[in-house]
Amino acid sequence: MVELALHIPGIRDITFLENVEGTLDGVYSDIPLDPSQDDFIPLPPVTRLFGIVLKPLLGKNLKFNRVYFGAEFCQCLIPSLEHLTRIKKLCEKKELKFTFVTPYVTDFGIKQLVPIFSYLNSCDENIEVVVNDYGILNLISRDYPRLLPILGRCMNKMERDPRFAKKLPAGMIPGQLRVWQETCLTLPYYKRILGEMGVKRFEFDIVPQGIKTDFSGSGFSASLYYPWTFVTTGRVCETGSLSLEDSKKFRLDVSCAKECREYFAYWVTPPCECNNKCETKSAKSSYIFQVGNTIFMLCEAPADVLRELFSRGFDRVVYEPGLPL
Amino acid sequence: MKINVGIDEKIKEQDIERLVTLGADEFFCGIMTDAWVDNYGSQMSTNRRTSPVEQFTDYRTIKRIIDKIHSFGKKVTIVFNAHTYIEEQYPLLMEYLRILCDYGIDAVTVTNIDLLSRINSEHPDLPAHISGDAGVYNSEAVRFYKRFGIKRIILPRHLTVSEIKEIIKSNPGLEYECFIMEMRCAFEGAYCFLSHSWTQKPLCQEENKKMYYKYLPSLGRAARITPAEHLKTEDNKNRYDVWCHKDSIVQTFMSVKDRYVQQCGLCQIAELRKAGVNVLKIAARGTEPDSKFISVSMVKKVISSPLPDEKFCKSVRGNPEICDLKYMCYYR
Repeated sequence: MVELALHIPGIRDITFLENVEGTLDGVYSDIPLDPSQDDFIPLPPVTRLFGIVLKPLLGKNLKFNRVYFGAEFCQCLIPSLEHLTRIKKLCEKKELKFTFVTPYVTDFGIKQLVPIFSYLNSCDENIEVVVNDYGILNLISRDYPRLLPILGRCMNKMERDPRFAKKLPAGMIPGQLRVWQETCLTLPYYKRILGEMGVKRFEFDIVPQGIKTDFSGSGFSASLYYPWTFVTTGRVCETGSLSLEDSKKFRLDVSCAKECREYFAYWVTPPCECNNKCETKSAKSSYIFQVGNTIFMLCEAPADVLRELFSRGFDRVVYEPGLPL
Repeated sequence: MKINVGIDEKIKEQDIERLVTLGADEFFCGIMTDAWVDNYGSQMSTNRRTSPVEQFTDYRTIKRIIDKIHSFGKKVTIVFNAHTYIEEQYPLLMEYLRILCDYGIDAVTVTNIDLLSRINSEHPDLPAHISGDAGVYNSEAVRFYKRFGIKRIILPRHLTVSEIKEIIKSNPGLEYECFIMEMRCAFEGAYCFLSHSWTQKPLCQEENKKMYYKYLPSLGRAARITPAEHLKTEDNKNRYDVWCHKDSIVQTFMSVKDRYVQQCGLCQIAELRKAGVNVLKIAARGTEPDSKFISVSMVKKVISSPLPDEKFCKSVRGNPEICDLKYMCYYR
């Protein structure tokens, strides 16, 4: 049975949780994702994907039973303990299980996470924590034995490129495709080391080239994030520099005003340099978004792709109704 | 402090001699032979550099260069820092390692913990360095990697000097290497999964049109920004493109020397030394030999200076306007 989880990166998105029943029962209009139109509304197509892909696919199992809360890509967005407890209480009220999501961090970020881990470790139930940093995994494994670490999608380093969303590169040879479609997480030492540290679940983006990994009978299970595929991230933030004076822009040691909570950018890649004759022209995706320090692509994997993955040990969908930052 | 410089097939034996004379203490390089390329293409590189000119492609050449480096009493590290390898690639990877160990390679740089574990098992005496692309951002991550008996951590690019200081203070007893020149990017090697080889430019270096929108409080809706916001985002984007060193922009104001050297952290060397950094990395795989010579000599000048303050470092860099802009800096 496939579990459906709702990802809320921050308190701003609490409406998604408050309206979780509406998400399940909503009517999904077929609004095109076209920024040239005056009524450009980039996020409803995501709920449309929910309606046309997940809803029929999950059928009678269509029910959110878990909430992912927290930021994956920036330690400036680690929630306060107050926000976390507010979301957690709302989850309890709605009888939803709770998973805390963490980003990659410096030592400063670890100091912010420690009180949250201490609180979660003291809760009655064993709580899942998504880790996107081996340091965080090390910390949880050593100091918080009641928490259940999950290896997040930032640790699953399969290549991806939005420009090949619709057509793979011309001339790709079979060996290249095999490498592109596999994760290294199923290699023996990964399984042994991560397993010893308490990891039982790996998380995946749906990459354009497809995923061939089979988790059936492996002792591990896997989650799919849908429909936003993370492409790249870094601590240098264009959006976070919007309000800074020129000499302080793009620095690591200057605090931002969290402009990523207010603005996002839509990317249009340039036309192909070969004057539209090469094979990859049709792969140029226009569905690329920059949110803060991170680039995402909208992955419109159809139902049959998901169904195939469900048959191979992918037993959880982490649905992201909004841009996941 | 030692200088570790990236080398590749363009380097000649006499270039090694010159680099050593200028101050290079260590060298690092990758290898990817035809046997690998025939099966996986250069795109699925052994070492995150996908062009043949960014590494060595045959055993004879690399052996000659290793021998030359050793003749000066210097060390050479082989880099196998791809994020992902699959099982069928291991026989060839391990063959590379067996042969290179026979050639006397001094260390191996890795990212992938499965490969690291296999190296520990088959070559227990070969010192392992953790690549900057492994993403060691905090003291706990160092502790994670310590379990593998590693000798050195190469810290990622996106750390401040004070963050580096904290990591090293919490974990003494290891060697620490930091980037000091070249190949800086707004995205972090540990968390960048973009392919860099199937198109002329990676996505981040393309001349992408970016259109900013504003979230609206209602669920999932966005609004167009105001003209004032547009001007603000455009100015910010232009500056970001300079920071990102986009060719079309920086060519207009970079000198020939600046094009060779690009980003640097010269003025932070003194602080990095105080923080406990042992080795400075010049990420020069694939650059012209002249670029390597200039970079090594600049770094050596600063390391050797009794007073490597900002004024001195600016004079070494030789383009104060670039320094004042503060967009070509490591560790800022």
